[in-house]
Amino acid sequence: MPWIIPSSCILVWIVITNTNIIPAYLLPRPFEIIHTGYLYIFGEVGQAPYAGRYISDTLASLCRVFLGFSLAVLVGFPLGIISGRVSLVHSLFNSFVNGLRAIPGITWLPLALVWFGIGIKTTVFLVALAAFFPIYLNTLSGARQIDLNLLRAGAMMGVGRIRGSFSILIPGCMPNIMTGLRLGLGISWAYLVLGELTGVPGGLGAVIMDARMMGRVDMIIVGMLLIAIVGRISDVLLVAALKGSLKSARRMA
Amino acid sequence: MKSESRFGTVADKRGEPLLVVEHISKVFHLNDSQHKVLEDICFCAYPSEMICIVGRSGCGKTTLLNILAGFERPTSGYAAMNREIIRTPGPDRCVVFQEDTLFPWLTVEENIAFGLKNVLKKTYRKREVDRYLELVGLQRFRHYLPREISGGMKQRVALARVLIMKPQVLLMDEPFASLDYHTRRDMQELLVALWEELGHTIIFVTHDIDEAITLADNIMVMDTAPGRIREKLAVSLPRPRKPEQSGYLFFRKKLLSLYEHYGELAETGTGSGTFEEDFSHSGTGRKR
Repeated sequence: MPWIIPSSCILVWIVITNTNIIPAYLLPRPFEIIHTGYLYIFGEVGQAPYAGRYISDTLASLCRVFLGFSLAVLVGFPLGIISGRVSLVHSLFNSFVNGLRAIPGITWLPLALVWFGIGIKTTVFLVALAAFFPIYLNTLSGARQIDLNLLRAGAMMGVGRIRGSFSILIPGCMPNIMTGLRLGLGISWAYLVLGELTGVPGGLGAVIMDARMMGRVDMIIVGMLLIAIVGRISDVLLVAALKGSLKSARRMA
Repeated sequence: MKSESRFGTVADKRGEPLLVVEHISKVFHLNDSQHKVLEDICFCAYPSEMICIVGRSGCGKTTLLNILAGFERPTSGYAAMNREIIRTPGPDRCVVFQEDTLFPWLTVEENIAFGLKNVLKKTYRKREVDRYLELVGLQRFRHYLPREISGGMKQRVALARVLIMKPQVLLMDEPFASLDYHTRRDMQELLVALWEELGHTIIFVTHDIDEAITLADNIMVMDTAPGRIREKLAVSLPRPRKPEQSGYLFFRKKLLSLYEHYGELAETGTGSGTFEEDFSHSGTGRKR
């Protein structure tokens, strides 16, 4: 059942492209997409335009996502945990963060270009900014909602505030933390493309933009599909890493 | 100490009280309005004594227990343990909560071992965990997660994880309220058996009269809004206590009439009156 709609879409696609209702320069045939994708991933550099660039582009993009996402975690996670438990910090930050959140992420692009110029810094900045909000907000709500008696139970068993944060608070709101991290990583990929559209040399988003200028619709679609796949894999890996390393992630989500 | 004068006669017989509660009151502020939850609570608990506090829900039993545990501070008055005023929670006063507050990401065994994290000797830790698993009869379930075991078992784990800390006082906040009748009876039996073996002091809060009579050396009856201790009653029945025992009905009737009386007072909002003079500070009620 779940395959009916996607497969009929592909069928319609094949029919449309074969009857020339839509010209090939707007929508290439599925076969061409596969061919371009194959060359892009497995071809040798110089064999054809874009051939063999997959590894270097993906590494470039991964590096940017990793840097931006890590920055967002580094700031958003501790800030979320602390504002969830310390009302002074919460009242200090919460309205400020929500005010910032009202600004659409895309509108930071011109400012980021002025500040950081074209290149990795702009992309990392955009990714970090976008990923910060879901990480911060979900961690915050987890830390706020945690059952007070869990913390009290720790206190009566002689666990201090700092150690309790690591052994009770963080494991206790692990489901929220995981949600925040996954949403953050997801949005990281979206903002990666935005950052790379500005004309950086390598990267999956840069390839898409380059292909647009060359009129290579097939390459655009390959890029789109690959970003979807890489994004999905990174989500699976993130979940696996958390579950592999943390009892609380393994046993509660 | 101040309390020794009031409870002087009793103190002579039983040594020094472990826990002293002096004139505790607690006021909560809710949107400008004041809500008096506890008023002038006084009592003391001696080593190895089992005290039950009975009262309707909303009479401030949990607040009182939170103050004794060190989770909350009283508005006035103080609670002291071993002549030291209680300000923070500590492993000498452990709480068994009403709802399930096991750490859901830890197994039964890990939950019980949680309080021993500071203990470095691994062999000691393992031996203690084994011992308390056995005491509450959960050896077979040591690797289960809290969500995989029943409510009664969860409370057994909750009991074991605090007993392993060797607390001097065990504070229990309606721990068996959500269990079915038979499980509750089993847990009461287990609690009495553990108490007879380990000899800690227990302050047990409940709204169940039968539970109080089954367990307590001394019962304190509280009324509502504000919560006050209206009556102290010593239960002199031999253990194990059964409802068909002679004398059981006497305590049941007496408690029931008190209970209903204060309940009505609370409902009509005339919670103050003559009974305070009659019953307060009547010692431990050794009238029988």
